[in-house]
Amino acid sequence: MLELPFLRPKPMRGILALYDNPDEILTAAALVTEHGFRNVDAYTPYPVHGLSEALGIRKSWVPYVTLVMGLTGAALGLTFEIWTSAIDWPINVGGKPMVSLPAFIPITFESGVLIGGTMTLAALLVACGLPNWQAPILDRDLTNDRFGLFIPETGPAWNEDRAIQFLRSTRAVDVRVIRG
Amino acid sequence: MPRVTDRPKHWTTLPDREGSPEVEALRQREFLTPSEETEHPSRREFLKLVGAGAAFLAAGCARKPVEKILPYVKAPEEVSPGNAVWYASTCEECPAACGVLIKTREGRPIKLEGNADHPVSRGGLCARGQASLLNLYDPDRLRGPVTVDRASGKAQASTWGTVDQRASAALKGARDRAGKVVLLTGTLTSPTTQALATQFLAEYPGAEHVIYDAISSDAIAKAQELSYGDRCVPRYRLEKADVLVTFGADPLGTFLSPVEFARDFSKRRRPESGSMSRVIAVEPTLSLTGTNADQRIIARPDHLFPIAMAVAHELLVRSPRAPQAGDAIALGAVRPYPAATVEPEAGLEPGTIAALADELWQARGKSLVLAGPQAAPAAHAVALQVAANLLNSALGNEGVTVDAAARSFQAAGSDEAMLALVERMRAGEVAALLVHGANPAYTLPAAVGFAEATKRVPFVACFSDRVDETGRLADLVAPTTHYLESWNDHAPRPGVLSLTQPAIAPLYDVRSVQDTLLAWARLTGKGPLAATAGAYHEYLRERWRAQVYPAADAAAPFDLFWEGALRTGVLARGGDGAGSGSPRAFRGASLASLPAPGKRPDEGSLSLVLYAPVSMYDGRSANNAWLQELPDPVSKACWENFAALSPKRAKSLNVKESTDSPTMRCDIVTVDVGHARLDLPVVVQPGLHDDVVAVALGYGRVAAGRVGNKLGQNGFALAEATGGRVGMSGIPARITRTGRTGQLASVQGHQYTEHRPIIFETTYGEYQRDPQSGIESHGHLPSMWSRHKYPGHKWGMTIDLNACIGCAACMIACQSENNIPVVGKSLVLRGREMAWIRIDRYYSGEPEAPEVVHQAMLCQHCENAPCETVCPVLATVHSSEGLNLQVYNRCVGTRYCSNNCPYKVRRFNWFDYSDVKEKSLRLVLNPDVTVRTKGVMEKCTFCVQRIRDGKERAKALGVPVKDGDIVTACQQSCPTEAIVFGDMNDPKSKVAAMMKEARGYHVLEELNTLPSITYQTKVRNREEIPA
Amino acid sequence: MSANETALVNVTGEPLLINPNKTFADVNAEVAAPIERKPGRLWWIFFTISVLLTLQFAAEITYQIIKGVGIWGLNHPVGWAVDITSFVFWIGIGHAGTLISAILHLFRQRWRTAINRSAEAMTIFAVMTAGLFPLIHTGRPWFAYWLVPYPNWRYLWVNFRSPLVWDVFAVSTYMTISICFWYTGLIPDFASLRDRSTGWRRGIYGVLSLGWRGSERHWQHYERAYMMLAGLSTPLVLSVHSIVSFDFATSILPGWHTTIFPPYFVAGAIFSGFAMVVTLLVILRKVFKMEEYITMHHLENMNKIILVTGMMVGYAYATEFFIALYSGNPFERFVFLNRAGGPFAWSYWIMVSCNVISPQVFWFKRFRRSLVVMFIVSLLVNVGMWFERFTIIVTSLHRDFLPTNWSYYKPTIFDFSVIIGSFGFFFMWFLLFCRFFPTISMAEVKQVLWNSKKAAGKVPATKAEKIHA
Repeated sequence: MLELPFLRPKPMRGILALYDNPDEILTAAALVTEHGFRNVDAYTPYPVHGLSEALGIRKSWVPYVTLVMGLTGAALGLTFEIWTSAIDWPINVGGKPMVSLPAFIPITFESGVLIGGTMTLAALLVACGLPNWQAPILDRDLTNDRFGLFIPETGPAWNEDRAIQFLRSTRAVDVRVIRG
Repeated sequence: MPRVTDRPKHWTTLPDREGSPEVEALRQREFLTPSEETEHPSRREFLKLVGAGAAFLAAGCARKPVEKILPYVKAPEEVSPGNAVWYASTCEECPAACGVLIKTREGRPIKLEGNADHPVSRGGLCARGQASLLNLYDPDRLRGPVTVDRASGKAQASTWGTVDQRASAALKGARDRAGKVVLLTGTLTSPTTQALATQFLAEYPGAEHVIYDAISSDAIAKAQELSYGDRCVPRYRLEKADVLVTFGADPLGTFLSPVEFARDFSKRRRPESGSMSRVIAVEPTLSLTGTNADQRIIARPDHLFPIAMAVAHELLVRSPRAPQAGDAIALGAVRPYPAATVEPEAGLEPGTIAALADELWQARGKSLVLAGPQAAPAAHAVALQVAANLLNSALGNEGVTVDAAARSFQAAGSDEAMLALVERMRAGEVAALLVHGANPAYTLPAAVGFAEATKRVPFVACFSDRVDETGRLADLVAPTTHYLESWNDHAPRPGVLSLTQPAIAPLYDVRSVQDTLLAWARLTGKGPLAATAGAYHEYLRERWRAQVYPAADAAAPFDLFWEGALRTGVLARGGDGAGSGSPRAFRGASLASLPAPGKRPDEGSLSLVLYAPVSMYDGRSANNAWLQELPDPVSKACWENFAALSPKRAKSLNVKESTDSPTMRCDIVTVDVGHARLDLPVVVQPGLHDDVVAVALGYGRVAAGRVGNKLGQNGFALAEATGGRVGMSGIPARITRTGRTGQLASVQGHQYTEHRPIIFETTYGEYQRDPQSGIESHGHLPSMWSRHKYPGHKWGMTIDLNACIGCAACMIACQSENNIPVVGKSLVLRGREMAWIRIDRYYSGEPEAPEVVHQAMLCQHCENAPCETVCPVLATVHSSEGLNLQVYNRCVGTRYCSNNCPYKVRRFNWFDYSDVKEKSLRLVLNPDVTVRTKGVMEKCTFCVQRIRDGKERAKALGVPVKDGDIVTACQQSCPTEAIVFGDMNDPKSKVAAMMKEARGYHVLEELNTLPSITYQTKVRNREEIPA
Repeated sequence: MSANETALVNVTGEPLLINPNKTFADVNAEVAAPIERKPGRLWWIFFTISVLLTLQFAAEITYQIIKGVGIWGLNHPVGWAVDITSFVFWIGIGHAGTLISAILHLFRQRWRTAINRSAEAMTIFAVMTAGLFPLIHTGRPWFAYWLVPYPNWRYLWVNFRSPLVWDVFAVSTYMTISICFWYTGLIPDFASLRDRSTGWRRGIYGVLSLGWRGSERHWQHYERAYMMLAGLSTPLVLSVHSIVSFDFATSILPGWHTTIFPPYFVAGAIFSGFAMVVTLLVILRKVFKMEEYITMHHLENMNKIILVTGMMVGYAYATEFFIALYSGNPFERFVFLNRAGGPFAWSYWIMVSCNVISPQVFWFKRFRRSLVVMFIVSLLVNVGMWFERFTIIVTSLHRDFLPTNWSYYKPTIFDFSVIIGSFGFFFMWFLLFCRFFPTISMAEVKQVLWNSKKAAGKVPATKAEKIHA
């Protein structure tokens, strides 16, 4: 592949198990936490429902950003309209009052949507730490037809063989040791 | 409009003829309008642009380079930059000789306005008078004297030296061989020029001064001679007439002295004054006067005379009332015309004539019968006038409304003399012909054969500002100054003497006709002028010193008297003249020579009526783009003439006019009068007699200039010359379809109000019962918002539909004041005309006999302006004084404002009209008003520059703005004072008072746009309530 | 119709959205195929034509900026015609994309997955095209940026009461949000493309994918964010065309000043948008052999929507006509009689026959499922909807309050130039999109695929099972 500095992967250590359909990774995920593995992550070509619950991943906080930013945007929009039309330079336009509220509503709404929407995307990127071109690609098929369960190497108490044992016991089609 | 280069190459200056590059460049341009360049590009050009387009997307567009300007250093005397200097003078566009005020900026005339002190015009000025300013800067004017090769009509630049030598030699020759020298001029209202002419001719034995008017009032003079033994054109006093009956006369349009008549007429049309005159128009065509009449009697031209006689018959025979009832000759003359026979002949309702007679009789001494000099067939022309004289005498109007004491000098031309001259020329009796202020080669019927006749004249000289049709037949053309460059005086009637003074030095190497005559007289050196020295200015001054000054018995020394006269521009002795009061005795003998009753022409035959249109008159200013684009007040067509047919006739001939078809194409028909035929587009004219086809004069010039050439057809060619008279009416004609169609530029899309709340009208009777009659008002209209406050001024306007006669003077005033561009026929056809104020003409009632209303329509300066709300960039907003502002340099040109304007009074710059290619034409621009660039919207500003000027003047004097200090251009020019502008917040202002009047209403009131313009209902002086 | 176009059904007889015999890998392979192989002749022909049309469009704009907007057939009183007509038309086209991707997403309409990507792309390019017209219709386009309220030395802002300013905000917001929404959807697919490609492609898709790995933690945020954007886009799409309709509804012109406009315009927009989607997909699935993903089932659903919205539009026509006559307002009454019987009656009746009559054929399943019929109808609907806007704008303007102003509108070659030019511009972008972007959302289709497999009881025996057996 093209060798670009920001594409050079950062090392990652742990055990990766590959499955070839969603049901099996779900069953495996259900077991992995019982076996006391922490920070387990899954890599799937599409969002497999139930996986995050199984791995105990918290619900996303992105929607709150949307709500707050949407309201803020609307408020800013209306304030700006009133300030420019009635305070900064009031001009008699067609005999309408300086603050023609009905006429200001459309832009109030649009600015709400604009800020809310763009901030939602921003929040998504922040939440996922994207862009991040340096995360290593554990397996090229993880975006294709493979479903991967990854147990990261965590702390001194880490027992690699136990992890491998466990994953083998699931219906993994392949179990790999990832080193850098 | 055809491209300049499509026309025969006719040139104005030497570099022009030699085709110097810049002149060629000019030739490629449409005068004043870029319309031609803005037509579609050639395929090659377009392909180039495909590449350019791609490049453009990348490059973006660059702004224009900065242009260097220089300050106005070393200001000449009396000129302070930015301040207008006004000169009083006299308009010479036509012999009516109205007083004008010339507004000059930095030494160049930029506007003409009526001189309020002038007894004839009293502040008004007609459209043509105001537009004559543009003639001064006409790029097609001669730059210097030329000699002409008679064979080819080609002109050759020359010098005054050569021209003078050649002329004087020719004149000497004529004198020594006792040859006849003839000076042919139009009516000369100037006594001094008249005197100069007489003195000039004095040295030539048998010399003659022939006066010829293309649109002549000769018949009137002749009839006056017959009836009262004194050849004159009397002064008609419309303001004294309770009842005005016109027989084919158009006093409000183009007859004799329109501004004067309009002013007098309007004095009697305000119902608030407690009385209102009644106007009855007996006419074949729908004249401007007819559109303002309370009653129209539509009759064939050849029936006007019988009808007039039938009215006399009523007064003298049926129920003898008039003094002439005893006069045997009179009785004999009127007997053949009983109403009983005339009415069916003329296709009138039974009783019409009796009613007419009764009305006139009831208003005897306070009525006026006014017959048009060209209204009837040539054979009837004088007879009709005699009949009118008989009526006026019988009714005791003579000496009251027909005032021979204050007679008019505004039309002295004689058809007989002109035709006789041509005969003599043909007979080779004329040795030298000098032509000034006339263009017989164009205006005489082809049948007269003026062109051939000139071939027998050894020497022909023309005094004109261009090589016109007559100039092409001359040996040389001595270019004359524009009247704004010359000295002169004028006496439109006894007791009124006004001066013409130059407001600018001659732009080119040209000389006033008087100076040329002086120069030639000195060279020939025998006559009374030979001894004189100095220019015409001195001659004029001396004559005033010798004759005017003593008569004026002024206390001041002459120099002061002279300066005073120059300041006021006019000397009015004996005031307005209350009329001689002493009626002249009517000579019954004059009735002896009347023609026998004409037999009714065979059914379905057409009779042609030629008329002088308000804009072109006789075509003298055909090269004036303002006038060419000025829509005809009745038909609303511009840029060419047409054949007007009645709806019924058009149907039977199966011809269509433009507005009939969405393709905007109209049929082209051939009008054939036997000796000549013209192909003309058709206009279906309501109110036209079914047996009449009407054609406007003044078009079809071939040597007018780049604008005026080849527009329409020359109506004069259809005129007939019989019995020593040029006939323009009642000429038997045939109409045939050519099968071709054409496009006629018209500025009005639909002719009826469709019962919309636009025009409200009532009758005088109704008005007296309820002054608000006719108005459908909604009373209070609810609004979401409370209205804005307008402390200080709030500008407003009233327009009295009863006073507005549709003369279109305001349109030219606005055009001149506000630098409004002319766009040319091709763009008028695409609805792109730029007029800020237009006159909407609506018909009502039956198309056969419609009633007409003229409504001046301009920006209403609505308090709740729909245009403002929708402008995204605040380019049109409301001022603190209630003006609807248009900020050109902020406008991005979305045209949303125009779409949302219910009155559609906004105009868009579709192309770059401000880029005037002809340098001389830039001089006419008003520096107080910015020219608008491509892509911006523009509209009426209530002459905001005049408002500012008025406020600044008041401020400088430390006084508040008085009512009348600020006058808009349209208001100033209006001869009938239909437009009143002022501060609505000022309770003492005239506009505030007018708005309180009961007749006031707003157009499209229920839209609640709260216009600042209040219209006043049209009141028709008749009893029955309009349908 | 080929075999794979016959609907597959599950045990309960409901049609499957996709052939359950496919594997996840097939999806990637087949969706990516058009991007990875060289474009075919058909693509090149379409593309060349589009580029040529775009070039002449650019030439027209250049010439117009040099000479003035007067080269169009516009006049006084008809200040708007082809320009704003096309603007509203293209904005309308855009709406179907958002509707499919956002609203159908909220309503859990799974069948959208095959078409939402291209529909969203269509939205973006349609809005781009639409955006051109407000710019070039102005008399001084080089100053068009004055419509944006930015601080300037004139201390002058904009008129927030003007619907044109609302348009500026609505359209730019719509554009921005649509791009956000679209890109969010693309991220996982870029990752898929990255992982199956090499060389410079891998580099580019790598960058575009922002380093997406498909981590469950990311999916968690991703799905909620996507839902939020869908939630925002839904009222947005409704507001945008309402605001566009305000251009007319808030004016005082008879025929424009109508309270029914907002819903009427939205319905019309969806109507025309779906027609355009059908037009595009019928071509796309043929050119790129996507029959297995964009199945007859999808097309039929869309034809049903066309039928429904078509009748909504027809209802709107009838209502405004009735109200105009019933209102007793002489101006209103005249405008509508003039529409149906005046000099522009032809355009009114084109509108009615294309928009109200032609979709009626979709009452019949045969026609709903006939490629030829639906293609023709979708084209007719697009023509009809263009003329709807033309009718509203021109017939209202050319005969308004004062009869003296009445006139006619005659287009010049330049008016035609901008119309065809805008189509060239739009298709140019769309073809480029088909060439370089995944035209179908792989991630979403895989979800649907797994459901289909289950529904069809076709969950394959896995390798794992074999091992443990």
